[in-house]
Amino acid sequence: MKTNTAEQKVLLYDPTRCTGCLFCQIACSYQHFKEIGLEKANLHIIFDDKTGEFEAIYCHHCDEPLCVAACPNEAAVKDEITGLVKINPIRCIGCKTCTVTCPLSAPWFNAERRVAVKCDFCDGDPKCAKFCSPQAIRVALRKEAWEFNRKRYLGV
Amino acid sequence: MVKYAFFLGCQIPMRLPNVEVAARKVFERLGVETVELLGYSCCPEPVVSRLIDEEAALVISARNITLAEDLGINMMTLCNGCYETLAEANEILKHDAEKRDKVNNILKRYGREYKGKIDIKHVIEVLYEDVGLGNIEKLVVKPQKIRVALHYGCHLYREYKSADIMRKPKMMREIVERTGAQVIDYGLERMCCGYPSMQASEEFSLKERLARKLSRINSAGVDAVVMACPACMIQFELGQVMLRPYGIQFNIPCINLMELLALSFGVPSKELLIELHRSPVQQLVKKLGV
Repeated sequence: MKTNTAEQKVLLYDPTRCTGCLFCQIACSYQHFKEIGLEKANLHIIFDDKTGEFEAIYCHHCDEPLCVAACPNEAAVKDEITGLVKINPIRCIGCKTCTVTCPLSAPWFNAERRVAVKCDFCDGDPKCAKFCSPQAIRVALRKEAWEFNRKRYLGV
Repeated sequence: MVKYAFFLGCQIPMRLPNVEVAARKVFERLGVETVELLGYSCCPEPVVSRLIDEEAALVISARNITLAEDLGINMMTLCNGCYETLAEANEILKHDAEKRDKVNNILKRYGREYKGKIDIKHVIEVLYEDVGLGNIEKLVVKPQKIRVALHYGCHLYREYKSADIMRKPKMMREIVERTGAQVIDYGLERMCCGYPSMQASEEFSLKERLARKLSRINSAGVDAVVMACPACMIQFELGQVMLRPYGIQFNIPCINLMELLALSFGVPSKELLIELHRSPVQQLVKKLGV
């Protein structure tokens, strides 16, 4: 059965809870590359010195993903059942188109594997959310994420 | 009388014995009875150990919890990391029968069984909920007339059942205020000290986290930074030394909540091993005349 967009599980980030400890990045890097590091992570926390606030860059598993639309070799695919957007490394030709068409540059180019890599939602149990002490990043339904982000960015 | 199984963790007895000394003196005066947890091990570390092998991490935590179950009393931790590891394991094992069975199958080999009969409390909860602010205030004979910045530490924000993440930090602030210290806001209280990212990148951890915090704290004009977590203490104190080769110099005294309480209760500073500090706490104590 095709997934109902509003009911799809996605990641939801609340900057007012984030401490910037980067355990999310470390957990992501270990989960996907078995490396305790900050670079090879599918999400990134950045700090704005002017506002004193954190912001997270992570894949929202879009309804109409630009990475999928731009991929010349159908390596980036949106799963109709789970709604998750993934990149098949076997089909990826490493052209980096997805890394620039995504408005957040969520997919990134992995120089060792010479393919694009992105969040795969850890197949339903995202490690970033699991290890976030203040629950700044958590799993929520997309309709909750819509409401939260509408309030946060548009104030409505 | 309040009685707890005392989980000290690794960092405090091995690297910060001054915190242990201060804590024991504080508990003695407050009438908190601490029972030693003989044979305890590392909690283990809350993130990386669980990432590498979740089941092993759960078994180690469960074994530590069973030691307190044998005593039939709740467990108290001084460290934020130990608190999260043990509280998280307790939460998982109490509610997930499948994981509990798996863990107990392994524990059985060592003659132990996790029963889920006790709770894990952070020392801040014990001081606030069991001892009470009034009883703490009664013992303050030397109010600490200093301006302090607070650093709560990431794992202190861990809550269950959708409770407010500021619950424990607010408690800590109130406890500090009862010692006579004036809490100064500097705007980056929630930011991590950088200890976790130290495992990934020393330069990032020191410059992007610790130095940012210290620079705001420095501008706020405080006498000291007060914190609850031993890992944060190591980062704040050793980090100031490690920042020097990068050309960044700070000289801010950092003390643990237990040390601040002990000083305000009139414990002479020479009994508190303050010479073990890597930040200028001796200068602070001299200024205070304690």
